[in-house]
Amino acid sequence: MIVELGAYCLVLALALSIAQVGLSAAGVRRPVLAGAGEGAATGAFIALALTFAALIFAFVGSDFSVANVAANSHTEKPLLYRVAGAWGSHEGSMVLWCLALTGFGAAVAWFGKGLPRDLKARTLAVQGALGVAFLAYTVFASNPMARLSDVPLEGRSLNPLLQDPALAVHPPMLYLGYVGFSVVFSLAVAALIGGRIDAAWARWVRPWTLAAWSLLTIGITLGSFWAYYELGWGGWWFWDPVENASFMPWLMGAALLHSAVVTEKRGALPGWTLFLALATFTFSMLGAFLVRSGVLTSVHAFAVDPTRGLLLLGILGVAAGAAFALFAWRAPALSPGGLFAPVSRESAMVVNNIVLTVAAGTVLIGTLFPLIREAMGGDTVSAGPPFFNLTFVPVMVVGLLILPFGPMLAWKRGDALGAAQRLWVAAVAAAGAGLLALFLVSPTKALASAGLALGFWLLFGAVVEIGQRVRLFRAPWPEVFRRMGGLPRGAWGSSLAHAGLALFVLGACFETAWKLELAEVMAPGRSVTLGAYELTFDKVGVVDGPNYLAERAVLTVRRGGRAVCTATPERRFYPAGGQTTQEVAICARGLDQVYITLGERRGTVDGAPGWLVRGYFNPWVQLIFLGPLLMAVGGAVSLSDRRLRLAAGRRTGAAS
Amino acid sequence: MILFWMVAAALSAAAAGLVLAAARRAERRAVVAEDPALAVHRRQLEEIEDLVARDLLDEREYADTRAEAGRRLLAAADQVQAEPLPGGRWLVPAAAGLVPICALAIYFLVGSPGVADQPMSARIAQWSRINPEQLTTGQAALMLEQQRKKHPNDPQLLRALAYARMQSGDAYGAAKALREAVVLSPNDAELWEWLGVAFMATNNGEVGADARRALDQALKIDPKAASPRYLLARADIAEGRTAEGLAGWRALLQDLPPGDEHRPGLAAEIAQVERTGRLPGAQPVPQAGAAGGPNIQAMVDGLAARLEANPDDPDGWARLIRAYAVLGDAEKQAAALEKARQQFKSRPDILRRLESASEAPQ
Repeated sequence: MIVELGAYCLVLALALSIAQVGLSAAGVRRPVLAGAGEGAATGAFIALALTFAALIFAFVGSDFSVANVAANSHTEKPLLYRVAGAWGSHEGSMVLWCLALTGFGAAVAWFGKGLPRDLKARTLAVQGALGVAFLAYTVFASNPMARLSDVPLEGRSLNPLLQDPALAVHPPMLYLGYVGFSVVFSLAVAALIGGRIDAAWARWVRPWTLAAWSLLTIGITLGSFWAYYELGWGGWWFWDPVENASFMPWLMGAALLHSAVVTEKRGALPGWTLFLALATFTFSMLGAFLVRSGVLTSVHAFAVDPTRGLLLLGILGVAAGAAFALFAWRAPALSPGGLFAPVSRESAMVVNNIVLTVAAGTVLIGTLFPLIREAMGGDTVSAGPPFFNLTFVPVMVVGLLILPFGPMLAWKRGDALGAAQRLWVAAVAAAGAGLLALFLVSPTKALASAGLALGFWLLFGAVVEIGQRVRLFRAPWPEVFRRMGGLPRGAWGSSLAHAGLALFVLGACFETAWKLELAEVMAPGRSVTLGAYELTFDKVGVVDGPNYLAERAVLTVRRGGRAVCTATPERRFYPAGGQTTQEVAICARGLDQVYITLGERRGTVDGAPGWLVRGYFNPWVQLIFLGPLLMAVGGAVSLSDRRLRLAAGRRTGAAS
Repeated sequence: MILFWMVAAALSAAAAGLVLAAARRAERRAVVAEDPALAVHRRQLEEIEDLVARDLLDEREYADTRAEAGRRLLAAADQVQAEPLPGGRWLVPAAAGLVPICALAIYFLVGSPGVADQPMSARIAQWSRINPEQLTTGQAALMLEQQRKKHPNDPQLLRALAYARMQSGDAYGAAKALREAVVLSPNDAELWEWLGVAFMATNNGEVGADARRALDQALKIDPKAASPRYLLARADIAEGRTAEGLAGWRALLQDLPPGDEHRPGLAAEIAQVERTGRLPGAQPVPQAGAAGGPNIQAMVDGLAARLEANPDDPDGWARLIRAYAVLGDAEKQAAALEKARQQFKSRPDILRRLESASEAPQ
């Protein structure tokens, strides 16, 4: 009964979303109807939450009469992965997508009290229309509650690569990010219909953008971390088309965050901000299409047939097509907003936007060009790291070089010389760090040293920016602390995000240039050297997992003769699907990691049984994951700024 | 069924109620005459003053931004707010009523009304009420697995579980149960022998290092055990140690009682190896060993016989087809696939499973 109630709630959510569209559209000037539309939005979210709970119930109880459970679960799968199986499949993840979509619709209904009545009603109508499209697709083309007449004895299990704690959390975060941009899209379409795009609109858009972007940042970071330790290749970003699909909305979202600030503070660039608001969610939908269309072969992709992919392409085409057509019609009538000098904070933000948009464009070309070429009957080509190193990286380097100047410039008319004077300390310190790396660590790696200098430039730039605002070393300490307390959280948030970007750049440059690796067939008792570390292969044992059989090696990692870590990499075999996976052992040492995988059995030179062991020394790799998390924290801190809380009361005092 | 419709009706009523209640709340809410954008612009002005008070904004920037924010406030104040329109209230109950009707119509299209939940625990409870002889080996294995969770330290239960898993084509599951069983009962030669055979089944019938260790252990406990002696000698021949292997087989032949049913077959195999220097046939594990042991071929034959008697078992056919694929017996695999196709010709979902079983041997 529970499963069928879940199926009923799914169609109830669809019916409520249809009602939400009709009532909200009719309620633009009729508050009662708009209120009813808000009720429908809340109802759709609750109904879908019940569907999701019913699906989890089916997965936990191994109800193989549900086709989705039979295809993606197994009785021996641990509980966590049975629960996560609910969103590990295409059908289940569509429910998660729709849950996020209706959840954000309900959030607009609950928390959008400060929005003008007509804008809110139109936003809910557009959000409801998106919900109708995706829910109809889920109900009719990807129903997660479809039943089997012939119930199999056992399920086919979930891909073992996806049976991982990071992967249990990664999709919800990613989807909240992807779908969070739907509110921004709806607000943009609603504003285009209403014809009023001004500073107030930009302020209403900002919190949603910040929330979605922060969640997407966490989602992408978790996905990258999963790929790093689960796939066992020692890398953390592969320019895989599915990774790119999540990266494009992130880049556009970052551009939108900055552009919306300009529109809010100066009323400038309203058309461009609108364009970005539409483009960001369009890239989210493109990602959903790419992952599910079957056109990509990727560890992250769902193998879905092309028919269902075409339906998703249809939703993308209609939603984005209608929105951009509306934009083309209404945008020329928008007022250009406040003027600004070529040297000003607005100009810096424009450069930032150009850089981020061009960067997203290079990722788009690198992702789609091979697919288009193949579809047109051309050769199979792939755009891997060499392509992106020559296109994406130089564009971003320009943006990162300019970044610290932005916050140092005044609105409207900035003082370039003054900004340079304030930043010279950061520039000298960064150049010094780069030169130190060049001469001390490795004289042959000039580019990597330059990359490090760039990372330090960003980091010191963020510190100098806060230092300037609180008059660090220029005012007495009590005054500095008072000013620190008075600094708006938005300022802290942006500095934290920029510092997070700096940490990421430092980690990426150091890890890429100075990583060490070895591949050795090792028998018990044998030792090898990996940089400053010595790895001793102690033994191998068989381990019975809940739904796998593993060979687990025990290696002692020593530095300077002293044992610093015991590594236990595994090679697992999952009989249910007949797949073999590697479980990486990671020894974290400060910012560095020693990363060890256990490969297949091979004979050693003397004929004794041995195992292929791969070891990597990844210096500063922790920064690659900590940096983006700091960026997400920066987003959350900005989001907590009382200036973005529209329902918050009037401020009572000048200083707190 | 009735309960389902009652709950579905309650959910529909709740959904309609939510729409109606939200409309009523909106009706009661006083219509705010002022444009909310004005509040945003006012707060911007306050923030500018606040920043100046905290000495976070310089004089020139203050003057500029304050003037601009003031202009935006004035422009917003000039915007004429559209007056709310009367009427249209009838749409609310109409929509609230249409939502359940629409949901019901779609549910009849895509749902399966009346189909009960079938969690594994309920299915096992149902199987426990029917005659055990009517159970398929897969069902028996799942029931025994449930029992094992209650009695994890019972080697006999593990033995039965391993047997049921082996018969249902789950060699890895059988090996897993037997590994636990030999830990609990390390002096049971038969368990070690079964473990060796289960390892062979996971290794395409070859005696790998794991299987050899298990069979050696069985022989250590019972040096006269026929099956391990046969299999180890066979492995010696397969690995090129023909003389050692033949010696093992000859000694085994001598030890078998005169009337033993396996004597003629073993003698024929010895003669063939002596003549050709190679192992006979493609059968990875020929008939030998203790009666009732988990001989792979016997198990597959048993499964085939059971399916002849009770052909309405799609899982069983899929296992049989896979088992033939693993054993490399293409002829029997094709025959089994054809029989299964005939049996389930009106069931495309099952046919797809059978085709995939024939394509992807595990």
